Amino acid sequence: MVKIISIASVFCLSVFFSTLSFADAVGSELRLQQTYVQENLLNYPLSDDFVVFKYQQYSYLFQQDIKEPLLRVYGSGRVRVHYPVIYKKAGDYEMRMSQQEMNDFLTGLMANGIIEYDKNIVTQDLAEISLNRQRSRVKNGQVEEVFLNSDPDVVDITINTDGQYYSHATGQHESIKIHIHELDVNFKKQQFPEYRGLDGLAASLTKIQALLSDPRLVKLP
Amino acid sequence: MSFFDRFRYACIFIIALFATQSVQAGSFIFAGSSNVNGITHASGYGGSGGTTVVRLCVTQGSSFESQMELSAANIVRTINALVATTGNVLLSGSNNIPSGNIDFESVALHEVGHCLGLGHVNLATESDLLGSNREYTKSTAGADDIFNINSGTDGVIGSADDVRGDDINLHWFNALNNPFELVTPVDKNSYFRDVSNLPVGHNFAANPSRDVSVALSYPLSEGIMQQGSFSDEDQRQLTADEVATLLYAMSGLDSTDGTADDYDMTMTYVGVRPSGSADCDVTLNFDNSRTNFASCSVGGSGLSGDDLVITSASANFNTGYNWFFNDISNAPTFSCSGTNVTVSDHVFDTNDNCVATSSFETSGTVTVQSGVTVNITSPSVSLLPGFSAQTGSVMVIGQGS
Repeated sequence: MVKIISIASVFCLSVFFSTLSFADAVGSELRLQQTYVQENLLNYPLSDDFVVFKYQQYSYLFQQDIKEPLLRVYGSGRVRVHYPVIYKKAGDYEMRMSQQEMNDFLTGLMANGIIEYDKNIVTQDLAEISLNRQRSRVKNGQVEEVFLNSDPDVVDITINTDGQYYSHATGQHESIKIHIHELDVNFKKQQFPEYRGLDGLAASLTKIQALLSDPRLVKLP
Repeated sequence: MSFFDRFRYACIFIIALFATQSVQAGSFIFAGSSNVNGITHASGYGGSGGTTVVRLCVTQGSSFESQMELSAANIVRTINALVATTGNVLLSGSNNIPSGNIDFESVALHEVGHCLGLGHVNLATESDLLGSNREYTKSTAGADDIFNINSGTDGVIGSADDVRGDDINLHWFNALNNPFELVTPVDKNSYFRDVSNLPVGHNFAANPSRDVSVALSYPLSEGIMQQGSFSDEDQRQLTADEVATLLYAMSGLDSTDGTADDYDMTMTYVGVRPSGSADCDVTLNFDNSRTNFASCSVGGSGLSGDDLVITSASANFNTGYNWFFNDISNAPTFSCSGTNVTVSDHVFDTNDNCVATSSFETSGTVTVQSGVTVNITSPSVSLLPGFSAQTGSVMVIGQGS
């Protein structure tokens, strides 16, 4: 049987009310984000087998089948990293996070707004910025300028708490099932430094890279 | 008598090898739904004829700085030779790449292709499609904003019978719609982007994927601009597809060969230079902040009509992989013995044994294509054992007393 752990703090009710009053002023989406962060209402199966978080980074320029994700974090706090044979670090690595570390990691990602991340909106925003830039250049008598990255990086982020978090928005326990598939986050950040819509995802990727570099990861025999 | 004294007799032989048949080219990097006919020209082209020299550098202080140099020089010679080959995919056991390693020279050749203005010939990452669907021929998504992908009756993705709905083709093709054949001159009269020019019975432009090469009964071949590299694999030679694409751009703004705006694009390897050096048009650099694997960050600006020119190009690689750095130069070498000059072309068989050696009683500057021997005394050209017919020319220039 899968055990469930609740990390709700005893003072969540007071935070809830303070969050609601704040949320009333800034909108429901931010309210959701704030409740995740401030109240730590994250529950998930406390299991060595249940994957709460999964991360993969690709370049499709390299086409060999990669059968395992690069990073998996299980409900128990088990962290598994798999580097295919083409990597210098080829092999499997593991470590364990405490439940507090797990919670900090996941709520940290949520604080960056990845629940609300909408690839379509970002794509539309960047297209509009590009168009405005081109219009501005034409208006100023400058030639068209374009930039691209030939073989974009791809990231896949999946968070799945299996129906175990409390949403103040609905007053019910709900599931966090997030899957983000995005191309070239860092390149887009460089090309559109004025755009804030990628900040949260970029910050999340920094956190993920930090976990991949955790010195506690031990290579399995 | 010195080496050069012997070659004061002026002699120029331009020897055409094997009649050429047809051409199909690839795609250009900045072509898209807003400029489907957009040609991207190499850095330095300004719209008038002449020679455009693209300078390649290795970035000083980069990881693997010294190991990159030989491959950089090899890539320059490969691009400059513009030799269309087939059978350019050498798999494990037929190359000098250790198991589990990725050949830097092959990946860098792909990236340098981008840095010169070539795009992917398949839908690739930028389509956001998954798996083998990325292997369909480069196109826009068309009016319905969805890639319509159906591999047709042959089941081969990227082949001529693919059914692509309203997708707009971006891959330039010739009258035969065969990406592994080359014909000159290359210009708008010999190949096309609009699918209305396809041969009867063809549905869409074929791309130079390895599956298509097998379906067309070629030895295992793949255009270097096909996105999709594997470990233990050597793809250091061009196919007709990218040769034609480069030549098409060189036909100038009017896309017509033999007119005043034609240019010759030639690369030169400058050497190791600091980041940002004005000596470099294209750089090779290991920088993990720029890529998870390999990419070329390319900038371009409008030139005329839909045509663009490259204004910046930096090929970046990630250090996290088991890169293999080729230690075999493809440069011809010269040695003297008595009155003979021996030209070693550094052509390699499938076991990477150097097999090409030609003797000359007199010579000067000799450009020799892979798999070819040249006899200058009695001008003739022949293929070495194990090499199939290739298309191109050999130029031998000497100076006499």
